Amino acid sequence: MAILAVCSLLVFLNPKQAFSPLRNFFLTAAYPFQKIFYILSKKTGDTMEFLGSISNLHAENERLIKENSSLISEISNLRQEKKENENLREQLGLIPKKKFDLEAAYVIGQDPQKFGSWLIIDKGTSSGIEAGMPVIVFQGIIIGRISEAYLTSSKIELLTNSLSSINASDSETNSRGIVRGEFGLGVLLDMVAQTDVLNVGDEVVTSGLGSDVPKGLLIGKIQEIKTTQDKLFQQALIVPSVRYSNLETVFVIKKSIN
Amino acid sequence: MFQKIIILLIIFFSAVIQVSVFPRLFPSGLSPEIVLMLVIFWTSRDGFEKTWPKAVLSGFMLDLFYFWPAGTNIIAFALVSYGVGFFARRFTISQKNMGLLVLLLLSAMGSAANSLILLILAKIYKGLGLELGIFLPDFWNRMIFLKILIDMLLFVMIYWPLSGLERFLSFYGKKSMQGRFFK
Repeated sequence: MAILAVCSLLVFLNPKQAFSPLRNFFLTAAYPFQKIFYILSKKTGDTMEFLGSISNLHAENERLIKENSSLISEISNLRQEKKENENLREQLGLIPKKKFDLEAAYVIGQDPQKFGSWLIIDKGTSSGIEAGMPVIVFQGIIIGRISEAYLTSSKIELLTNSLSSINASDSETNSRGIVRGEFGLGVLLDMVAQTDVLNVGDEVVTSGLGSDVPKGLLIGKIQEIKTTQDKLFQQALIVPSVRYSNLETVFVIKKSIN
Repeated sequence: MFQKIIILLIIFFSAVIQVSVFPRLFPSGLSPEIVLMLVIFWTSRDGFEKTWPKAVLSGFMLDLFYFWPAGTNIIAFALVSYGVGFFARRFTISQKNMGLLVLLLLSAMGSAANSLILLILAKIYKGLGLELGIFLPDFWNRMIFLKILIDMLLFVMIYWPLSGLERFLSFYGKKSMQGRFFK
């Protein structure tokens, strides 16, 4: 009973700062083991996945050949568009896309209870990482923000985490809203005015309003549009552009370089 | 002292494995609870009275690694340990084969009870408006049976190594006691 009483009191008071040094100590001590274990388990998981997928290899191969040929044609189109884009930028005197001061980090742990809540990475305050910094993967896809930074590791609060919220907009129609996590299950673009336009398949990007998150980072594509129960706002279910449970390397945006 | 350090290291590395290894090998919601299985093993051997410090330490370690408010896993582990200790006393674990069967049953009960306790705690926190960042899979679906099964398999896998280690530690303890008396 005494244990329960003390623990209940601890939980309700939730003195996070009081346990931070202890958490920091254990996370720092665990860091090398976590890194080794995570890499080894990934290799084991990949091998198991490969063994399980051998029967599908033929179909997969055919699909990839088709996909490859369509990608080749897409690349040539994009090269053409890139050239046009560069010409137009030159003519308009626009600066190129923002560049970021990135810190590459390996994922070394994740929420075992429910994936899509948080990740642990192998970089912390010793690498200049601070709470609130956005985290992206290749090609500028945002996956979340640093919520807690320790000496050699940090916790990323993923976009699918229900505590996460970020300002976003539809890249095609510029409709603005707030992207919220859905208890580790998915992402929801919420608080979009009824007068704004949303289309299924549109890309949702960060709007850069009200936080340290730069504008234009990709979140995902709209899968379904619905209206809130009070009929005041529109909501859109977003399919994230990456599978958060399979991430290996991420990049923390320390600051934007204009 | 040596025994305590070994126990601390076992709990520490089990927590590291639980956060860094199992999530890569098992689907969401099915990640096994090795730290909980340790607590169930120790409680079934020594009873709640002797095991509660280990249960508290295990819960605290997991709270640190899960980034949960300190106390959440301690409450769950303490209650599970109490329950397992209560039932372990009532079952006969003298026969070798029968003993493992009863232990498996206890590990299944402990696994289910732990999930249920955590779910209830998360609901209480939410009801009180506390946003503590605890995310749990839905308890009442088919997945829970699979999770219990995985936990039981893990229990079988750790049972013999832990029994061996326990024998070694008790042997070491006796040796060091003798050393102290004869010096």
